[in-house]
Amino acid sequence: MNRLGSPRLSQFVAILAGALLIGATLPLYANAGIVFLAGLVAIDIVIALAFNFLFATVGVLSFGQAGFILVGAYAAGVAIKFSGVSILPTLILAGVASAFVAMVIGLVALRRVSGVYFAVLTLAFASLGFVAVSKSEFLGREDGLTGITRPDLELGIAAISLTESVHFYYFVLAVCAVLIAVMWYSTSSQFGRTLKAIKQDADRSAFLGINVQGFRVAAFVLAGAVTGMAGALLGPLTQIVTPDLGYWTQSTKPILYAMLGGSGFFWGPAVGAVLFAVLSYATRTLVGMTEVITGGLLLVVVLAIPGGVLGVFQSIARLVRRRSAR
Amino acid sequence: MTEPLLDAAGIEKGYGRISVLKGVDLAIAAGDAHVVIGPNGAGKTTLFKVLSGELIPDKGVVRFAGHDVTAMPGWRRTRLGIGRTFQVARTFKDLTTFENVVVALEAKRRQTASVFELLRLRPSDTVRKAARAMLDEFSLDTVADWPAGLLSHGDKKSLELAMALAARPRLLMLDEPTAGMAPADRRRSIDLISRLLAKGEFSLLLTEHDMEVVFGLATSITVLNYGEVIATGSPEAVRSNPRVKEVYLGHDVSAS
Repeated sequence: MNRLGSPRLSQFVAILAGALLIGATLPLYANAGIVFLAGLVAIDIVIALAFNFLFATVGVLSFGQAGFILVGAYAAGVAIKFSGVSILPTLILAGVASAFVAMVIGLVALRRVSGVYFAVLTLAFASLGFVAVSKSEFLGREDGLTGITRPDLELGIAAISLTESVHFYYFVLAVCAVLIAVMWYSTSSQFGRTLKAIKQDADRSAFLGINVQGFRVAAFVLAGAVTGMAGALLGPLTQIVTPDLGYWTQSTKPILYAMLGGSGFFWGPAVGAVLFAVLSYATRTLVGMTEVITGGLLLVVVLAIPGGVLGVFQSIARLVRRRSAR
Repeated sequence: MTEPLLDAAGIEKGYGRISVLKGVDLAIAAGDAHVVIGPNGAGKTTLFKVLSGELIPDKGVVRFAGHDVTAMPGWRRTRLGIGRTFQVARTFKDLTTFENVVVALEAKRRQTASVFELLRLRPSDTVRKAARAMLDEFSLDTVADWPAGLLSHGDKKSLELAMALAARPRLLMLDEPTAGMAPADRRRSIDLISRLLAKGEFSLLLTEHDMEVVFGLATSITVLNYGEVIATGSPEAVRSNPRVKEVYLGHDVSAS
């Protein structure tokens, strides 16, 4: 059967369900600190998947994804602090705000440049956002917005309080699962097929009647909105929103996760994010060593296993299959 | 006389100070198989690019089926009904042969498909059936699940032709469809094109070097030399045109 004939929906559902099961049972045996970190990792996974969607499926390297985290986080922070809306409208607002910013940047940047120039331009936009937010009196300058509460989850008939950390953690898991599903669907559906074609040969695609620019902008807007909604969870989770969320090093994190896990695989960035978190946690007591170890690890991955961790697994699996076929 | 399907008038195009096309006129009637020939550097490829939408001319107007398409981008022209292939066949090398055709078919269907169909995860049954049928017709069924990058040169050309036809063009433009092919592949390719042409579903514009191909397919010919049209008309008229003989056909025909 053809690969494309049956996108492996069942496989995706199984992996997502497995990951959710692990995440959901975590509070039963892990302490509150680890549960808190797990929430951050879930958010990081979504951000990294959105980055890799742009990188591996659309074929554009965005070096400014932190800008969308910033837009989403501040949109949510402002909404919570000044309006008191419930959590779902807050997330939607953050998604719309970052989608709008992505559209403006996409229309300007994607039309004019590609490759490295696009990467630099997105970095410039994100840095601009960082500076603008840091200087804004209304947004609390360098101190950011503090004391961000966790709004209730209003579901028409009932309102569920998310004030309790563990409740909010479950909410983060649920939202991240939905966003991950959106990214998978966008990669595997007709939309994703067309994007893969555009990535491989934009001119050939155009002469099949495909609106290359339109598809690219749409994909950029989608990735921006998903990143913004993931970023919107950060404020209520950590109860503070600072400009640091949009600092350029934040844009390198999804790139690192994708390379570590394997950008050629849908789940690669997720694997990278989890591995990185485990590593940082394991080395947390060695002051100053975390950066050295993670930097060294990245060097090893890039130089020795360019396919990432999942790439190595795939090679091993192939080897085993060939052996057993003999 | 009815209006031609494609009508280019006074096309001028230069790169920097070098003028490549110096006022080219070209008209293709519906049902025509029009071949543009000319020595190397005559401007065939530039003219092809102007007509297909890859380049915008400095001067002149291109009209297609009553629309002014001079400055229209390629993807819009494709939607109007101009299909094309490239001189070096371009396919999506990491997608399978089957997927290549599916992407092309879906691009066409997207213009009319329902929202429901657009949101489906898998290609619709209609698209899958149509893709299978096309692969059979183009003798690509045995390589359906191969990545297109692994196909032979001839198969890549066939696949690209299938993709261009998936858009159901009214005018198909082929840029040297047999360039770099082995004689056997060349014959197979020409047979395929004339068989498709015989169905009468599209008109044809092609540039070509090979005289066997030119006179085998053409119902009309335009001869280009140094960016100017020196002759246009039926194959017989062009063949006997003294100027054409002088600048081009004479030595080329005897040489081949």
